[in-house]
Formats: sequence, C-alpha cells, structure tokens
Amino acid sequence: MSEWMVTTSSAVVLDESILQLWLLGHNVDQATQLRMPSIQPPVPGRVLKSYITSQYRTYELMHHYLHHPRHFAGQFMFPLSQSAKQHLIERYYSFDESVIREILGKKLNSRTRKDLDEVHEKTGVKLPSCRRQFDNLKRIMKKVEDAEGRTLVQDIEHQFLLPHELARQYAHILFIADNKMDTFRKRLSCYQFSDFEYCGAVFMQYWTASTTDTLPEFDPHLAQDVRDLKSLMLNDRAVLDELRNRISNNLSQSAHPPVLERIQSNFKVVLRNMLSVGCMISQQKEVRNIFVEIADKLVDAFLQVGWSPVDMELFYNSLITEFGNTSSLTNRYRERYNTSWIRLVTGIKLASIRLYRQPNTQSLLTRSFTR
Amino acid sequence: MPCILKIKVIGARDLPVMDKASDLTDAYVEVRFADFEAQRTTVCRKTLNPDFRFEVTDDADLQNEPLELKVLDYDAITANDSVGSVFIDLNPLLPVNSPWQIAGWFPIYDTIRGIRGEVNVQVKLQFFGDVNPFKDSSAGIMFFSTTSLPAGYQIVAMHGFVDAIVNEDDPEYHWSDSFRTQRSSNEARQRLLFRLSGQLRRLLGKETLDMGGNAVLGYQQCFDLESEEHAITARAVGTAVKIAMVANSIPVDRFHQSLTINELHTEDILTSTLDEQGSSPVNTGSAAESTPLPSTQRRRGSSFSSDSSSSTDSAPSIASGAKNSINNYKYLEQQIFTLHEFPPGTVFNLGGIVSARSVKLIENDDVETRDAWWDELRDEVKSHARVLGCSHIIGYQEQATINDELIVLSAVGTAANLDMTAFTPGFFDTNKNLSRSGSISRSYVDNPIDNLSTSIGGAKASFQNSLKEQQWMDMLAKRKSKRKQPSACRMCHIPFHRKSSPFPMSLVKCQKCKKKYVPEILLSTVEPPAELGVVGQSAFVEAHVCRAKKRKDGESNAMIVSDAIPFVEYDLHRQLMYKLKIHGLNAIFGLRFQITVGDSLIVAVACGTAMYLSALPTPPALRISRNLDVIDEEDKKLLEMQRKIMELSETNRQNLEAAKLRESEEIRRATAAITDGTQIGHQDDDSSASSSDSDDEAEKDNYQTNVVIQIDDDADEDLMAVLLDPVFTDGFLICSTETLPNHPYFVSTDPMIPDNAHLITTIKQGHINMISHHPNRQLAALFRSIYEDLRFRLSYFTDCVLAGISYNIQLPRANEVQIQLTAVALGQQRPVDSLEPLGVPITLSPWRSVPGSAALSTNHSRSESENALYGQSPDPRRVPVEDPMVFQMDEQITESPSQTPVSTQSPTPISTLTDINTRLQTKNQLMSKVSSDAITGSTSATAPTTPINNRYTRLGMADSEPSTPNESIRSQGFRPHELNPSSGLQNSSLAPAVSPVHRPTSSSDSYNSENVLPAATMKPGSQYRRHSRHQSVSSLFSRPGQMDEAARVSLLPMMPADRPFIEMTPLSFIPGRTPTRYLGKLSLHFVKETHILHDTTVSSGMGGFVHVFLMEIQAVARSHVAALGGDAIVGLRVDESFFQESVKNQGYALISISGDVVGCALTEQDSLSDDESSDSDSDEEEDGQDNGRGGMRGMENDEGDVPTPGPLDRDESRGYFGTRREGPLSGELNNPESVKTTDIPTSTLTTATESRTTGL
Repeated sequence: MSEWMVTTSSAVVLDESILQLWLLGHNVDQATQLRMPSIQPPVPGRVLKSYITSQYRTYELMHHYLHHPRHFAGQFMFPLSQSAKQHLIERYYSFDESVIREILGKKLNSRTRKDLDEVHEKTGVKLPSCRRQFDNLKRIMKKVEDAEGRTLVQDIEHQFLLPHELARQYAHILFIADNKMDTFRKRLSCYQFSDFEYCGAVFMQYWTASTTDTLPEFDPHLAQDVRDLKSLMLNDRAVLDELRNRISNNLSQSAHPPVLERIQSNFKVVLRNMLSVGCMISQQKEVRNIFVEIADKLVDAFLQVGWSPVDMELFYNSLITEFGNTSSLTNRYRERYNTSWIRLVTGIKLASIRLYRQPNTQSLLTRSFTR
Repeated sequence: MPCILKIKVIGARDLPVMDKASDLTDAYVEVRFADFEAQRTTVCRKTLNPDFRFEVTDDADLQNEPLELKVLDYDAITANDSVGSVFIDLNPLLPVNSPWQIAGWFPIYDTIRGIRGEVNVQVKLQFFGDVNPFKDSSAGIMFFSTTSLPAGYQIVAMHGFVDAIVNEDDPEYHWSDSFRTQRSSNEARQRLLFRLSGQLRRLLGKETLDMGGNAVLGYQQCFDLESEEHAITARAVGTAVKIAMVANSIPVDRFHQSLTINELHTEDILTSTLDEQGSSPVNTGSAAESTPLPSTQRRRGSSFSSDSSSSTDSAPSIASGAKNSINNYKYLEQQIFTLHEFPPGTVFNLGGIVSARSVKLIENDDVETRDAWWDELRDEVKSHARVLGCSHIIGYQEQATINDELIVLSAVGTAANLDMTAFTPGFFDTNKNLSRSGSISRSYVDNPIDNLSTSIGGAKASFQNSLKEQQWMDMLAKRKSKRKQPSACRMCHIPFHRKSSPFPMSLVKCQKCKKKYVPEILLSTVEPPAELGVVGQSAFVEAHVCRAKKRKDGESNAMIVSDAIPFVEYDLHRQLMYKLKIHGLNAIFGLRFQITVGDSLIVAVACGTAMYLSALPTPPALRISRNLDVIDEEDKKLLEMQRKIMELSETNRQNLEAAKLRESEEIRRATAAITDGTQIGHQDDDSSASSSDSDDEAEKDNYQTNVVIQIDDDADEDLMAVLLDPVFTDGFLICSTETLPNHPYFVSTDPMIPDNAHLITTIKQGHINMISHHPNRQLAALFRSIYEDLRFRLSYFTDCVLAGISYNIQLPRANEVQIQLTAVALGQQRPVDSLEPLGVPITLSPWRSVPGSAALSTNHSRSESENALYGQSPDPRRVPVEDPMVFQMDEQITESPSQTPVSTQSPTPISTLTDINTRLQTKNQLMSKVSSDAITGSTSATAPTTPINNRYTRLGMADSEPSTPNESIRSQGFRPHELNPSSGLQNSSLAPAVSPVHRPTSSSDSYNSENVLPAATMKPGSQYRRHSRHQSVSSLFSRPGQMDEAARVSLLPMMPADRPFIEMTPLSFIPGRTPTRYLGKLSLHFVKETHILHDTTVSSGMGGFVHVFLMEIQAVARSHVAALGGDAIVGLRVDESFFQESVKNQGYALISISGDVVGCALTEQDSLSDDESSDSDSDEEEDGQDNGRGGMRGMENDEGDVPTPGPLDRDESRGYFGTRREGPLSGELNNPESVKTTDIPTSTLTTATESRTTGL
C-alpha cells in the first residue's frame, strides 16, 4: 500500500535555495530539516518535504541535459529562459576549491572516484557533491580529448557553455591532471587550489606549444632550448660571471644592498636550479614533480637568503633583460635562445613568486625528518 | 480524394548511446502510415536527411491514422533496437485555414525509457479537398476543446449535440501479447488510442457536416478501458455549430473596440437587433462573411451614436428582439450543448442541474448497445429539463467509471432556456474573453442569417415536436414578458409557473424585482454568466463522500452499486447545501460531480464555486444539534468544530446581508438621483407583466427558519466533520470555474492581469482506512493535504487563484484512492523579480522570509572558514547562499557580496553574469512592474469621462438601469474592497489578509487604485500607458518598503532573447494574451511502463516515475504545439489517465490529453512593454539566434561525424517559421527555432561554423 504525491507545473520553478542544497549533496530529509526553520509561516514537514522532493526530482531529471549542456538549448522538457539554463549550467559545473584540491593531479579514474569518501571526510563536503565535481571534471576531460580546432579553453566554453573564467579554471585543472603533476607532497601542503591553478595557467601560457591539440603539451622545442641553455651557461665560467655581474649591477640600481650581496654567492645555485626545473618539462616523468621542485629548489633557496617576492621579481626581470646583453655568449646564441629564455624565466618567475610561502612549521619538521 | 503526404526527416540530436562499444548510435528512421509499407531512411550516424512521400488515396486515413516515425538503431548482427517513436496527429493539417505543414523538433518518446533525443521532421500535406457527398471523411471540420466560443469566431448557427462511439479490442490483451515485447504492446496501445481519437473526430465531423455545421465546440473525448472485456471504448460528444471568422481588426482598432465591450448586454442587443430588422441597407446588401471592414466601422459608429440615446431606445428594441427570437424556438425538443459558457444575454434562465446515472454490466456488447445506453441517459436528462420547463441543457458532460465489468454512466448538465437569436449573425459577441482577461479585440460582422442551415436544422427538430408546440408557445409568451425584466435577476427566476412546480420546492420572491419567484438555491454546471449579479467573494465548495462497499461480482455487484448511488448522491447534496449555508452563499457554478466505484469503496466528489446572487435569498444560518454524548477527546474536538461551524455560518451570513444591503442602498440612492422618464416607463412595464405572479408571500417565513443538522450517530458526525473547509489566508483562492466573479483578475475593467498561468497537475495516492468511522473525513483530508501542498508551492505568487480545478478520482486497489487534479494557477509573481511577464520559468525562492541562508551558512561554516583562512574569496557556489536574496537595483552591484573584489586567479562565475544582469535589471523591473502598479497614482490625472463610466457601470452592475450616476460607479468599484475588511470575520479564507509585512506595497496600491482603473483600460491610445509606466518607475525608486521585499526575493539573471514559452492551460483563455489563430486540435496519447526501483533516491518509487512521465508528456505536447506554429494549448483536457504499480514493481502509466493549439498575441499592455524592450534586445536576440544556429551545427557535430544538413534546409525552415507568424505582431513573436545557446564568444562561434562549412 503505497502513498505518494506528485505535483508538476508547466513552468519549471527553480528554487534557488533548494538547488543549492541539491548541489551540496544533501538528501531530501536533510534538506527538509535545514529549510524548516526558515519557513515563515511554518508549514507541516510533510508539505515541505513533498515540495523539496519534487524540486529534487526536477533537478535529477535535468542531469541528462546538464551533462550535455549543448542539448539543453533546444529541448522541450524544461521551458526555461536562456539565462536560467545558463545559470543552472554554471551552478552545476561550479566546484569547491577544497574538493578539487584533493583531486588535483590525480588520475581521473574510477579508483580516484572510489576514494572520494576520503575527500568527503577531509573537506566536509557531502559525498554526492564530491562525486558531481569529480564527474564533471572527468566528463569535460573526456569530451575535450577529441575536439579539434579550438584551444582547450575555447573548447570547454563551446562544449559546456561555461563562462570564460570557469572554463579557464577547468582548462588549468585538466592541464595539471593531464600531466599528473603531484600536489600531495608534504612541502606542498601549504598551498591551496588557487595556487596550483595559477601555476598551471602560467605553465600553459608560457611553456606549452601553441598547437591545435586540445590538451596542450609542453613545448618540446622549449625543452630542447632549455637543455642547450643549461649546458651553455653552466659550463661556461665566463658567461656565468658576466651574467652575475651584469645582474648585480642592474640590481644595485634598484635593490637594497643586502640583496646584492647574497646574489653574488648564490647566483650559480639559483641559476642551476632554475634551469633544471626548466629541463623537467622535457620528460613526462619529471613534470610530475615540477611543483615540489619549484618549491624546494627555488622558493626555499630564496627563503633562505631572505628575499622578498619583490626582490625575486627584480632579480628575474634583470635575468630576462641582461640575457640579451651578455657578450660572452655569441650573438648567434643570444638571438636563437632569447625567446626561450624569456619564456622560461617568466614562467619560473610567476610560479615561484606565487608559491613563495613559508611552509608551516609542522610540515617543515616532517620534511626534514624524512630527509 | 487523393492527397499527397510528404515527410522529410531532417535530422536528429541528443540520441542515446545505443552501442556501448563505440558510444555512438547508428540511427535510422522508419516511417509508417496507415496500411502503407513502412519506409526507412538509410542508416546514419546522428543525422538523417531523406524524403518520403505517401500518396494517400482515401482522406479518411488522414483522419484515422497517426503518422508514426520510429527511430531505430541499426545493428549488423542482432535485431535493430528501437530508440523510440514520434506519433504525429495529422488532423490539424486538414482544416481549410491550416498551415498544411507540421515542422520542428519532436522528442523521441519510448514507452519504456521515456524521452530519448529529438528528431527534426517536416510533414507537408497536399490536400485536394473532397466534394463527394458520399465520402466517409470529414476533413475540414474544426474541433475545439474549449467549452466556450473561441475568440475570433462567431457562431452563425447552432446545430446541436453530436456524439460518436467507437469500440476496439485492447492490444494489451491481444493473444500475441504473451510473447511479444513489452515495448511493442505498449506501442500498439498507444497507436490504437491515436487511431481511436482520429476515428472519433471523423465520425463526429461527418455528423456535423450532415447537420450543416463546420465546427464542433466543447469537444470532449473519453476512453473507457474495459479491462474485463479486453476492449477500449472511445466516446466523444460535442456541439455542432457553424462558425465564421470574425474579420478581426488591426490592433489600432482594438483600442476603439475596447470602448464598446462594456455595453455588452445592453447595447449589443439593441444595435444588433435593430440591425437585424433590416434598418441598414449596408447590412442586408452585404454578402455572407464579407465586407468585414465597413461593417466594423459601421458598428462602431452606431455604438457611439447610441450612447446618448440608448436609454430611451432600450425598451422597445428589446421587445422587438424578443419577437424576433420566437422564430428560433422551433427547437422544441430539449437540446443539449456541451458548451459551458455563452455570450452575455443568451441565457434566459437557469433551471438547475439535471443529471442521470445508470449502472450497467459490460457483456461483450457492441457499439450500438453502448450508444443506446448513452442515448437513454441523454433522454432522461432531457426529460428532467422538460419538467423544469427548460428548452436546453448546457454545460453537459458525460462520465463513466468502470469496475471490472461494472460500468456506471453519468450525464450531468444544467437545464436552461437559451435565447437562440443570439446565434444568428451580428448578434454574437465574439469575445467574452475580454470580460476576464481584460484583453480586448472584437468587432462585428453583420452577416445575413444563414437561412439555409438554420432552417434545415430547425425543420428537423420541429418536425418531431409538433405536439408539444402549444405548450411551448405558452412558455414563449411568458418569456417574452420576462425579457423586459432586468436581466440580472431574470436568469434566476424559475422557468416554470410556481403553481406547477415539479417538485416540492420552497420558492421565494426574487430579492431584486420582488415580483417573480426564485428558488432558494441555484446549482449549475456552467460558468457564471457575466450578467449575473454576483455579490461579494466566491468560495470553493467541495463535498466528499466515501462509502464502503461489499466485494461482489456481476449482477449482485451492480445491485449493490445502484442501491448505494442514491444515498451517495444525497450525501453529496447535503454536504454541498450545508457548506453553502456555512459560507452564507446561495448558488454554485461550475459544479462537477464524480462518482468512482472501486472494489471496496464508492467515492464521490462534487466541487463547485459558490457565489452569492443578489436575486436569491440569503440562506439561513446553520444550526447543529447533537444528540450524542461527549465521551472522548475526539468528541470534544468535534464539539468544538461544531461550535466553530455555527459561528462561521452566522458571521458569513450577516456579512453578506450587510453587503447586500449596502448594495441595494447604493442602487436606491442612484435611482433616486435620476428622475428619468424611461426608468419609469420601464418599471411600469414590469409591474404589468408580472402581475400574474404576484401572490401570497406566506412561505417567506418558513424559509427563514434555520437549517438544522441532527447528529445522531457516527455517520452524521462524519458528515459534520468535513464541513469545515481549510482556511487559506493571503489571497490564495480556489475555484472550479474558469473565472472568479469580483476578483480583480477577472473583472474586465480591471487591468490587474495575472502575469503567470501555470498548469498544475497533482496526483496523490493515499489510502482510506475503513476501520475508522470517518471515511468521509479521511477522504476530505486527502484533498485538504493537496491544497495545503499547492498553497505552499505557489507561495511565489501573490494573489494566487487556482482556477478551473478538475478531478479524476480512481480506486486502483482496495482502500486506495488516487486523486488526479488539474488546475491552472494564476498569479502575480512576488514583485521585483527580474522575470518576464509571461510564461517564463521562475527561479525564485517561494518564501517571503529570508530563506535558510543563515542555516546554510552556519552549516557550512567550516568549509567557508577554511576558505577564509586562505584569504580567498569563498567558492563561487557559495556566494548565492550567503546572500541568496541579492538584489541589485541598478548600478549598485558593487555593494553586493557576490561582487566582493576577487583575486584574479579565481573570479566567480557569478560576477561575469552580473553585468548582463544589471544591463537587464532596469528593463525587467519595468516589465514586471507594469502589471501590478503601473497604473497607480497617475490615474487621477485623467479623470474618467462620464459616458465611459456609464458603460462601465452597466456591465459591472449588470442591472439594466439605463444610466447610473457616477457615485454608484464609485461604490461599485469600491465594493470588493470595502467588503474585504468586513468579511474578515466572515471567513478569513475569503478575505485576503493584508498585512504590511507580507503583502508587497505595490499590490495593495493597485487595490486602492482599482476604482479608477476602468478609465485606464478604456482610455484609447498608448500614450497614457507609457506615461503611467514612467510613473511606476519613479515610484519604484521612492519605495523603500518595496525594496525590502525585493531584497528577499532571490534574483537571477534573465536574458531577454528567449522565445515566448508554450503555455498550457485547461482554461479557454490565457490571461493577458489573446488567441489570434486556432491551429487545430491536438490529441496525444502516451503509455509508459517501467520497472520501478525502490531505493532512497528521489526519483525512485511510483512518485518519481509519475513525475518524470508527466514532465515528458508536457515536453512532447509542447513540441507538437511548436511544430504547428502555435504558442499555447488551451482547453487542455485529460481524456484518460491511469497510473498503477503492479505487484512486480512494474509501473504502468497511460495518459491521453487533448487541447486546442492556438497562436497568441500579447495584449496591448504586454506588447507595449515588449516594444520597449525589443529595441534594446534586438541585437542580442540576433546573437542568440546565430548562436543557436552555430550551436546546432556544433551539436550535430558533437560526436564528430557525418555532415549536417545543408544550409539551404535550415534557411528554409527558418523562413518558414518567419512567414507563419503572420499578423501585425509577427515582429515580436518571430523567434524562429529558439534553440539559442549562450554567449559563446563570437570568435568561437565563427570558428565553429567555418570549420563546419569547410567540412562540408
């Protein structure tokens, strides 16, 4: 003996607050409890529950179209205005940064999906919501793999009708995921999603080839150039010295003296670290550790000498400008490698400044212990 | 006659993945029609583009058979899988003025999986027409579901009742069903329903053609699933008429015509009758259905000129009209009409409800037997009407309920006398819709009477009835005299002589004219006629009876049921009477009965809209006397309830008495103010005519005594317990009629138009525990919970009216009751939301209080604080929760939380929206405001001119005092609102509680301004409106209270580039819109059968199944409307519905819906605002379209294969949409293929299209 009640309306009523609860992954009973206190005048729980149930049913029914937003436009099922559809899509594809932080760089496979309960425990975000975010990511990944003729961001915008900014975020997440960049080292625990996303954006911007492949890959030419540069600069004492002096001069005009002193002693180390980070992009395996390398080799190096981000920026800038003036390098080399040099240094500059952060004491301790 | 059917399958999209391995679908389409060999397309991936052609030699096939397109997935080895089918009803293509084409995207519907993808089809018909008199088909007859006259048409002749009945074996029980798949038997059933409904229309059409008509109004079809007999019986009834298009005028005309409507039943009668007498040479000279323009002009001229002289003319001309009408009383046998609404002035008097029921056993009967059953019933109903002295039965409906082999047939109608002169050309007012929607477009074509057709029909009728002629002539003489009386109370007068009263009834002197006799109470199935003097607020009354029944079979079962039915009906009636008394009202309109017989229960429900007619006496208060001892807690509660009921009854009664007194005083004052010669003459007439009836007034006393309910046992207690209706505050009103008298939405002169009309379908299954002594109460509780639920859901509306409620009650299993309710919710969106005026989905939170933002944010404070820790802006998703009620007035967005400066790395998606948002902001406010308080304040500047006012009064007051001074208008206008406070005691459900907190200021403002509003609507020209809009804008900013309210409603961006949505409504009109074209009757049938999961998800269980099913059928219906080029479907009826869960968790649903597809124009109010917005929108709109086009290409491209249809096709279809929407408003409506995607950056778009074209 079943009792049930269904109410449908010819107009789709989107209740913003219920939509929110749905996206957050609450079930009907939880949602009813949450909404109950704020209903004025009060209504019986039965009424509210039936209302929320039918809202939920409508949203569940929308799944199909939300998974294929391009089909959302012409369908007759949900007579919604364009903007309401747009809004729904955006809401559906929005994500919790804390959740994505936990997935970031992991392989988007079913095992990761199974492990989402850990994410749930860590972040406090409901499991259904975690699943939705994961599935969205995976779906976008799958869809964009075989798209042609558009850049990744354009393709996401096109396929999923997402606003530019959100599409960009997804593109960066996918880029990081595609290269399986590790974000779970202890050293990296002080960074949050937006830091990685920013770095991903930087890498995509400066270090990838401008091909029509949708999922961008690191530019092999750049990788080759960086390798050449490494041997050119580190093996030639003259080049190294000239560059150091030029930079010292350059910095002395702007920076305060202590900075100047320290650069003299650390210059080679910094330069080597920088170039070796740059070299990582040539190999898929090494790329995985790029974040931790930047943090370890560059950020920590600067931290140790007590430089501020401003100092770092000045330093990098002068690196960029002085490369062209280094006379120890033959003209041919300077011309040939100048763009690659700028790309490399700018990328490193932006990433390392962004990641410039003291790891919190606890993580520092554990790190030293593991070493 | 042969005709050619051309079908073009253009493409498909969103198809499901049928090959798991490749994630693709190799689709092809099979096209079937009638007995023709199925044709199929080549196998394509994602796109199909072939042509088909059927050469149909018999156009009966076109009517009978649906066109079926079946989409399949090709498999090389195994059998091809079905994706789903599209059934297209070809009937709408047949009428003369049809577009000959159906084209568009149709959802592919599968009886197991539901909607799966869409297919784009174009169907064209080359029809040669048929002049063969012996043909079987009736192509060209128009069918209308609406029970009133469709707007834009006039009735040239009424031909009367037509019916058809078809019986076929149910494929569900076919012998092959034991081994064929579920899907194929479902599809067979679906196909059969399509075929049956086609056949019904063909038969009915044939009958109509024979009678000389060209259309069927009030078409109702039903399907009886006779499970024991393994058959489906399809029945249809309708009213055959000959209608003609009213040559409608250009929009400019509408303003002028808006002036004339208000003279509806005074001057219309005058001028038209005068015209008929042949006084104008233009008129007689003009050929049938021609010269529309001159005649409209002439009409207008005459109405203007008669403004001053009308009062003096009225008496003689009415008399002459009556004389004229005698000719039409040849219809001596009672005639049945399925219409529920008649143009003002046509209904002479209402005799009350007549009904007949019979209980039959189905035993392998043929169609003739069934036909005979129904004929029997109709005869009985007619004889009832005859006894009541009525010549017509209107608002007629037939119903059947089946329990195994038992069938209970019922026929209900309202006995009435109609003035058939109305149905001669020139008289008919084409647009009584205006009386409620406030939309105005009407004009006259003065066609000479179609002598031929009327005389044929007339002769037929009179031939049979020559015997009774004498008797009827007597009646006519009486009627003639009655005609002179004020029309308002005439309708209530008893149609028979008091002495020859057929039943022991207590008759009372009419409260208005004090001369004629009226019954104490008037019951009727029809819509309240416009000219009735309804006082005060109406109330929804319901009676629920639930009785246990022994489980028996065959004859003995029939015996039990037929024994029980009279008592059921008696209880229903009693409940209705008592409820009327409680409300202090004395008439019920739109009354509907339903009796359902189940295995162990008999359930009967009656619902109607109770009103107070000033002509009828005020009912006495209700007294309840209890002879039972008070034993337990429950008894105490009941006692308390009893006390409440009595109190309520008394206060309601007093309120209405007071209201009535006030009204009559006003009238007296008004009449006293005038010393008009005609007035006196009129009265003289009256007194002389009615002298025969003025007798003793003795029984006046005995009726005044109170009605007493004796409570002697549990059954009585149960009856009493259901008497107290739930009380809804804040203006939530329910009615079974299409309109609610005296409600601002439905007063023609009131510009308060509900800006939304949502079709609401509720299905509730509950059970009744027969162990309890109060089955009625349990049943009533089920209904109550439905209303509670709806009220809550609809709280996003202010002043919500749930109109046109109708039920279907089924008893699927023992002690299980399933209530299916359809209604339309009319209301105004809670103010200051950024929503378009009509039919637009809403995204707003239906609560006035700040929704759970606090609760939510505390709940998620952890994650939020996490975010805060990182010094980042919160997750974009959370922004709206934090302040879901963000409201931006205009440029002040920066202050809203969602705009908090965001680090460049993670900008919220919301922020990108807001600029669009703000751009639209002001405009949207404009639009949404207009409806509610556009007219406020400014009206005083344009004081109403007297002649206009006069006309208004005549309509509003509906008593034909030829002229009334201004004061009475004022009071008339004020009355509902004066009533409100006082009727607060009467019943809080009737009076919208105006509390400053809950009710937005704007609406109360518009209340205040109501009395001035008449002037506003009548003012021709748009300048005034524009002016008022500016006013409203400025007032918007100067209203802090409203801002507050606004801040509570969550705001979402709405882009303007949306096409008008397909409206669906069971009513015959769409508020705020005027139907311009009737595009045919749509009849759709669905079967779905799915395994039902019972888990914890929301979509599990029967509820989830039914929810999805209902959404799907609406989607399919919308697609059909769109493909026909319509904007709405009106008069939507559920012809059959059936939802059941089998023992094996198999859900089965069957539904059959039908309605009229119409094209709509916005009323001038909306179109104006549209004009304004369209300027600024136009470019966006184009963008959207382009995007849509690009998007579609991309879509087909999705899975990355096979070329899209050539650009030519697309342009064709586009052009087609463009041209189809003719008329002056085409500019606004012309939104071809609303498949707009969003703002894709143009660069993306061009690359997309370019790549596509190169690909080609």
